[in-house]
Amino acid sequence: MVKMQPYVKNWYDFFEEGKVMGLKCNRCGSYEFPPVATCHNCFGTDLSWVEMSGRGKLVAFTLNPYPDPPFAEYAPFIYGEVVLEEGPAYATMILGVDLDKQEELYERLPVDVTAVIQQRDGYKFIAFEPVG
Amino acid sequence: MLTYELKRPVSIIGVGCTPFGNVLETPELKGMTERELFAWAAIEAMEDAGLEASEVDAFYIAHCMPETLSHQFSSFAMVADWIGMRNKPGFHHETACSSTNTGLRHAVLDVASGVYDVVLSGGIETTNSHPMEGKPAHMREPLSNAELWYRTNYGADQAYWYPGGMAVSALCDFALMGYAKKYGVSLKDIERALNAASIANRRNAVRNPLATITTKELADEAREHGFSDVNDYMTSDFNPKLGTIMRAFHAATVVDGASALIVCATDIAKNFTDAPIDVIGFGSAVTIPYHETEAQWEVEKSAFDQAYRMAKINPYRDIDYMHVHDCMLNTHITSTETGGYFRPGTSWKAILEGRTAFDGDKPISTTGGRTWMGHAWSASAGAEIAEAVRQMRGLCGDRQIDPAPEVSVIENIGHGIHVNVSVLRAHV
Repeated sequence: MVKMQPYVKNWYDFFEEGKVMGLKCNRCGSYEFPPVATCHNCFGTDLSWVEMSGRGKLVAFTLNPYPDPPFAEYAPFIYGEVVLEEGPAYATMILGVDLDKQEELYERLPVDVTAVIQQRDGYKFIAFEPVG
Repeated sequence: MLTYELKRPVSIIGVGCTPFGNVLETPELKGMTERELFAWAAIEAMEDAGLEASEVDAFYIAHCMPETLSHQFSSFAMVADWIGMRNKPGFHHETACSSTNTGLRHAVLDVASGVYDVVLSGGIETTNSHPMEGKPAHMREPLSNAELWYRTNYGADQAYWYPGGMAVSALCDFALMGYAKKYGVSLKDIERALNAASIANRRNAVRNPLATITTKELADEAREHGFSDVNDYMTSDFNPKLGTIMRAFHAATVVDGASALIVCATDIAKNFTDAPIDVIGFGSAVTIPYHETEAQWEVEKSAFDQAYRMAKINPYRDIDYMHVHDCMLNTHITSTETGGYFRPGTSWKAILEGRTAFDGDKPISTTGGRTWMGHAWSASAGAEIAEAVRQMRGLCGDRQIDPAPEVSVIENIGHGIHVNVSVLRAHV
């Protein structure tokens, strides 16, 4: 019997507890963030929840001036690609950036960032902001 | 064991493509539904192949967003009668904006397996409008660009990718920032290269009778707006930024249209046409793009590598023409290098030097690209394959590549992400 669980719901539910969680493969030690049911590295399916460091590096970004309606309230905002300390990469909103200083941010890439859990309408999601 | 070989060689023997425009406005298309558009492309492909529907064993229809844009699924039934395929095998499929490139693969595999001899594969999309609720299919109303993109972003994974505030422009800017950092190119030069790529695409579109959305080159358009230098126009408010780097003229223009092609077993191709085009390789790969942290995407590299291994070609030596998926023009810089059309770090300069124009030594996207021929979602890849076939046959008039290409590569990227690469070679 496959031991499936509602991974997506659980990931978002952990944000409600203030935790940034991922999965760690019990066979090879690779991380899955966000969580999926199969290890990308060794293809094993025995994975366990672990708390992530929340630390990573912003490696690229863009200004999103015209987001889809669900994100209109944030416009314009910076959206970026973050490589986590544990290895996986994820793209999401980057907060705490002066929109007039995008060139400066680009010159500083890669930039250390840390996770910040954000409240939205009915759920919390993960964003990042530069350290310091 | 992976053999990367077809059990039976397969050739394209016919192609068809409608003008790309807007069924609410464009004179050639006005009043038409998806049925007439698909039939137009399919019948043209059959005529090009010198056969009739009775000789076609099966068909595929790519239709990326039928429920949103056509209030319809079962697209196979929607068109079967229109193309003479009642009671024959017919299949609807989609891999988003790479659909009709994938459709070539489906058709080729059907023939290579030995199950069928002749298969038609086409695509249709009507992006500018949708039917009125509960009314016949020809009664349509406009769909705003914002609403279209909102629905199109159902192509983004809704569990993890979309909820972070996903921006399509990010796919362009992330890759270009990685490229600029890796090769020490200034963002100013990257912008110049994007502008040059858009200017080259427009120059092609003006020479492509199927590209109806534009009639003048960007330099002429600039002059009309009071700019003596087209580069000043390209960095003005007429070309607003859509991201940190990308501007409006670096992005797709949405259009309506249909495309189709017909393949058959190579050993019978000469029964139909004097100019078959052999399908010698293909590759496909999928991912979610937040896994891509470099300028050159792993998912594209995988698809290109599969295709080249199957085709047994050296991309740096053997490719005469390449179409890359230019719904965002970063691909003229990044994908062309991933696909081995240019050496790493050199494409941006080649674009600025005019080498990627139809009359340059490394032509790209002679349709006018998705910027200026326009982007008809699932139909566009087929238009781009049809263009490659016509270039290889020497039929492209005043945008003809000289000499006609012997080997062409068509790469497409579907939202989500799906990459499909096809390699074509003129039959000898």
